[in-house]
Amino acid sequence: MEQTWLNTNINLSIKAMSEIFQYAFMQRALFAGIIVGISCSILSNFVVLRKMSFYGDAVAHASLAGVGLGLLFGVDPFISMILFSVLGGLFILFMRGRTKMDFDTLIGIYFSGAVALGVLIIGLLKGVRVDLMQFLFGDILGVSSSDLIISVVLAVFVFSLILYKSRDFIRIAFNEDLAYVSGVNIKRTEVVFIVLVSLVVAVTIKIVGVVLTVALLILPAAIAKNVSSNLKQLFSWSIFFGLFSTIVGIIGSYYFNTATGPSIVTTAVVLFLFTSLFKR
Amino acid sequence: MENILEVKDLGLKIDGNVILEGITFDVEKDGILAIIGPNGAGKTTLVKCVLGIVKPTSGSAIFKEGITKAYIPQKLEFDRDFPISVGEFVRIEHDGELSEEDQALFVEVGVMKLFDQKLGSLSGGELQRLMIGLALAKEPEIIFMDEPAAGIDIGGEETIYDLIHRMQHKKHFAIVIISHDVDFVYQYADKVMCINKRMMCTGHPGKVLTGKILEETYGADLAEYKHKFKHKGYV
Repeated sequence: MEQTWLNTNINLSIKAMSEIFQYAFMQRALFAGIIVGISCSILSNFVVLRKMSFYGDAVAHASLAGVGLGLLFGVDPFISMILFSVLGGLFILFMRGRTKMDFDTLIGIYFSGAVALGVLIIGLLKGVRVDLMQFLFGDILGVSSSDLIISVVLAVFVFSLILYKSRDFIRIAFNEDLAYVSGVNIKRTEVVFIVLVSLVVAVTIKIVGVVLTVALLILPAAIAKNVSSNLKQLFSWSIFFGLFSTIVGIIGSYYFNTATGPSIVTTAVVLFLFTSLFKR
Repeated sequence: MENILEVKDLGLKIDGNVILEGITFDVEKDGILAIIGPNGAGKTTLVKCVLGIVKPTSGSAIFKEGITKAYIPQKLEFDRDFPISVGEFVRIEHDGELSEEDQALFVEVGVMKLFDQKLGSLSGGELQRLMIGLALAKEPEIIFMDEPAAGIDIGGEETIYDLIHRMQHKKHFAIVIISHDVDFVYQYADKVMCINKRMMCTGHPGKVLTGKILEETYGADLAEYKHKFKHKGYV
């Protein structure tokens, strides 16, 4: 009896799965989710190891100002968002070297200032309506083919830059003084890292929204850190958990008719809580 | 003897406060310079200024051209939760795979057997040995060490100082060491420099470490250090 019930359920699931992927928008969502998920998961390791989660969060939210400025000056909001994120990141880095202010305080000021600026500009623009819910939560099911191309280009860029620079990123994350004495160019590496995070954030927001971007930039590494005792495990698990959350979130949202972005985030948070119990 | 480091009139001011002032010294090839001084005297900052980690506001520190240097901070500050194995850390710091000679070196400093462990699980002594191994694997001409035995339980057969001395004898390199270890300073240092923001004295340990100079250098803190020196019969 139980066996039959199980079989029926499995059959139903397989049927539903194949049904999901008949839709082109679901295929695109899944493909975009996988690409963005992998890029963000790999980068999340450096963000978490460098304790820059709050920075990632701030850049993501602050990009709203980029959208506002783009609309104000008639520039494609996506382009202005990328520019604003990169320049904003470099500005924070520049300010950090010139003030004794706590890095977190500096980021907090930038964060709130940029979000306020974004909302003010957008509010003042006549005849323009920006869907803030879309900005916050994105619409992975509405991913277009051009979005997909952009995300693939981004992924290739992230991979190559990380392959080239990962050793220096890790060295700086581990101990800046040691890295300096070993001849790592701290400033240049910082700039590369900030530009990398800003670019990934801007592109990921376009595809999945701010909340999911921040989640994907922190959670995969945070979950993986719970179960890893070395870097090899950290990187493998972060990709696994990033992808697992994305895929389960997308499929789950179809089943339960829930919003996709928040479903992915919830899955990742549950994984984080669960792995915290087995922290090594 | 050839100088491999010349420091001239080095100074550091932060917000108008003098942290270091008029520090001048040099280090000879294979020489051992010990830096002593009370807490807050600027010893660690001095080493950081010489290495360029902190930019001095005046004076200069000039190394022999093309010199390889290594630095072992007082306490390796890192997140103990950082998921990295000892072996991975060594490969990253060492910039690649280890040669047979490097491996022998890590065996000799007693850390090769720890390569599979998580770095954060090492004891203070094991970490220092690892850092010494990493520093030596660079085949440096000069090593800077900041109180290498601070906070380390010297329960093993060989102390960190014995290890440093043994390796220096074998590999030949100059050492700039911040240390309160009287035995090490007396027995091995060619030169000792006492600082307390300014230079208080410099010279051969036997000549410099007199009661009067120590009193000037350490001032009110002397009591804390006196028993160490007295115990050894130096003061």
